[in-house]
Amino acid sequence: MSHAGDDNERQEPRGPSRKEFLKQTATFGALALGAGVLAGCGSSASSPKSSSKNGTLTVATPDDLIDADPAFSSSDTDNFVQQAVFEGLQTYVPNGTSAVENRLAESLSVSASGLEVHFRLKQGVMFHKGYGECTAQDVKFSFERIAGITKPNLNSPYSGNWLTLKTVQVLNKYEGVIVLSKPYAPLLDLTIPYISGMIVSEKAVNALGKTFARDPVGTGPYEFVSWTPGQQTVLKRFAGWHGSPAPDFAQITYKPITDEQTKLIGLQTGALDIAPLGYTSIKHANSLPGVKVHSKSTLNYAWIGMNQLHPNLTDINVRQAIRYAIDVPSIIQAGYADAVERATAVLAPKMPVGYWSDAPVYNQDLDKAKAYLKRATALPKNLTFTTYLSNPAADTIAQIAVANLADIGLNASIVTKPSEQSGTQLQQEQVFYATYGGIAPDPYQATEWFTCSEFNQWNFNYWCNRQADQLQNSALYEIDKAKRGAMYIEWQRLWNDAVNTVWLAWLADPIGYLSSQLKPAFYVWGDPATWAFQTV
Amino acid sequence: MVVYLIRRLLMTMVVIILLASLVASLVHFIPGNPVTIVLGPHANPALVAQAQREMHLNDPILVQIYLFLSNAVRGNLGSDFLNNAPVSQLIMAALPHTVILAVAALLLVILVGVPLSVYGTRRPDSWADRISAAVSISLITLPPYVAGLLLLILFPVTLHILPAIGAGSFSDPVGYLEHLILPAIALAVGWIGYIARLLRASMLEVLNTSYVRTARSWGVKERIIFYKYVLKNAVIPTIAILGVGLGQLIGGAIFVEVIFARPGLGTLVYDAIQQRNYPVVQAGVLVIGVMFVFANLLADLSYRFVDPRVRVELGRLRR
Repeated sequence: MSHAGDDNERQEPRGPSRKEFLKQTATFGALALGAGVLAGCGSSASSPKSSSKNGTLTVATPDDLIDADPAFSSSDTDNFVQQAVFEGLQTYVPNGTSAVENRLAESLSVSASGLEVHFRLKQGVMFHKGYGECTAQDVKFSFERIAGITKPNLNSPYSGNWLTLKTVQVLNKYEGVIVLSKPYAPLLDLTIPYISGMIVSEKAVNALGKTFARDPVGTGPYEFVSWTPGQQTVLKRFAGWHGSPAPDFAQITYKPITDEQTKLIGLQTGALDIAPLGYTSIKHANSLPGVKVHSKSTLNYAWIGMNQLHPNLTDINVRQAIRYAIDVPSIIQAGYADAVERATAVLAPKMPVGYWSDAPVYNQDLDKAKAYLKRATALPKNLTFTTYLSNPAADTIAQIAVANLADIGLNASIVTKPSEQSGTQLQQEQVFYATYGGIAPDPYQATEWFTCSEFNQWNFNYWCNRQADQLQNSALYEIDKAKRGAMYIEWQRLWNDAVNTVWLAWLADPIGYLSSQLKPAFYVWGDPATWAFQTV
Repeated sequence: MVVYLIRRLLMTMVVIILLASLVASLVHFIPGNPVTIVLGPHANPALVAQAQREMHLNDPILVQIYLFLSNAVRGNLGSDFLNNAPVSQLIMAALPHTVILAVAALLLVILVGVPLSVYGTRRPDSWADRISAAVSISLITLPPYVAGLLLLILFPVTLHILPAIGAGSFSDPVGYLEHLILPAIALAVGWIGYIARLLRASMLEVLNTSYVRTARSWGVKERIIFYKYVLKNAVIPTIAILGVGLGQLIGGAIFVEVIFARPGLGTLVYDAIQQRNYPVVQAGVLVIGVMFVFANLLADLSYRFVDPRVRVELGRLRR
């Protein structure tokens, strides 16, 4: 027999009484209501406070500073810093057009043969940090080191931009002649006004050695202050800048921030003045008070390619069928939130030379696609569609494309790889989605990858056309813009006839900024000219 | 005691060596070629081959592991693939921010979690206890990422107080603390709830022990019984859990650092993984693992100091 209070007494589990149950329910209910109120706290209706009022422009960047030396730049932050710290003989005007203006050059003229470019420098232009005046010797040093003429050879990945440079002759302190072995068409659109044409201080490069990469010295409106790895890069206004008007901001800080929500909240609170955004954030960012998104087409492009050498795709009828099966407008809507311009060829309308305005537009036509498939000698087996993790929206685009192919009876499986590969394993790829970015305003940089010599490298389509290669080569040395443009249009026509591409989009580069505080400045290739942003 | 300490340290070293070997080898099973990422689209085959040789990417995995370990012992954690900066320099720049964040979160866990559990335990089955329980359980289920976003929406966005992103600067301690508040709360919330419930359960168990009943029967004041006997004994298992918690807070800081754009080991490793920056990934994971191991060691040792019964038991085993 058990007794009350006995420790060993077995007790029946006691459930909550009615009173206790009501108490607990009321507690949770009150907390849930409170959470609901909190969740309902929307964004403030007022414009964001900005850090620009303190004289600092804060810019979110997708990556950290890697190498600010114009001979080696590779990250977006490198480019932002270079545009602010360095100058070239000429430079692109940051008004979204391909207009170019003299910056360090007082005058620049090209000989009739195209083999010599005479320049005269502005006098009294000083390098930062006391490295003296910019002279013709610095111009010679800057160009020849990238071209690979100086010893030891820098092995700059951008030496191709100075492909035909023979030497730079120094006539006197401020004058020189760029001497070429052959006329070089990209010289005035790509090489001189862009990164490979930036002038560095020979004294500073020799003094700083490898540290020049993260302590660059130029003549630009901003000078380099510091780099804290993974945290920020800081520039300050250069008091001795030769140009005018002086920049509005005393300091620019670049912060590598990758999280999309963090960037949006940064813009909303004013902690960030400028931030690159994804396509799906454009609508939301534009709805934030005091925030606007600049999202114009760039020169970059996206396409669905077909490896012509793969047994599944050697038959042109199969490739035609794929071309007519893909619904490009749906891909643009789903993959790019309708924020990009449909592409019809490789060169975008903003390219100074070579835009093919009459390029054909291939709309989805399932009947035509099926008819082409019927003509094919054999249907593809184990067709694959490859995407790369480095491409945002790749999954969405792949799923739409594969669904389109299924509509004409082609079953493809999606293969996702971490990044673009190189080497012979590329020959295994069949249908794929790819993008090319960082395209500068010259057709050479947009097209140089699609030649016979680029097999197993960047010519994923494995398209080899000797006539096209010849046109590419000739266009490189044709300084008559009309003739050069015609060459590139013909080149694109040959590519189109090869039926190995479904053009998707000329990509945009959405950049959010505080429109209530800032007057923006953007380059034609889409990058913000952070040094040129002004307060309103 | 000394023998015990030496034995534990030796075991810790073995764990660290195994961890380092695992990190050094696992990284190479991640697909993707870092060379093409580093050199970009302009790399030619000669440049790619040269870079692969310099990075020892063509050497056998065992050789790469050996190179990594022998260099790590000498404090050389390699060079960042992208900017050639010494990885040890990057780690030393990032580490203080992560440690500060983790310690701040731990302090919050103690300062909020303990009183929360005490308050509920002293008023069992009251409204206070029920609210405390509901809050604790809710906090346990809230991931740091979600907590961080909610805090950002509430404070900087809606109320315009406290900074949204960044860490501030050590040269401005007040500003640095301001930047620390929200990330520390986001990181601590889950553990606050967990410690509150754990300590409450532990205290309720101690409250039912015979020595507490004896103390009451002797007329000792309830307040003294609670704080001197109950809490002091109930907190022992919590100390051990907090040691593990510190390690997890360090590892879990990655989400908070990314959301708040704070510098730290988490952001460093996260960015390095995306960039296939192997040396930084290896070193970062190794450092986080080492800190986790030492945090557990510290918890083990503190448990031994705090609980005299453990000392007596170990002494008995030796004899």
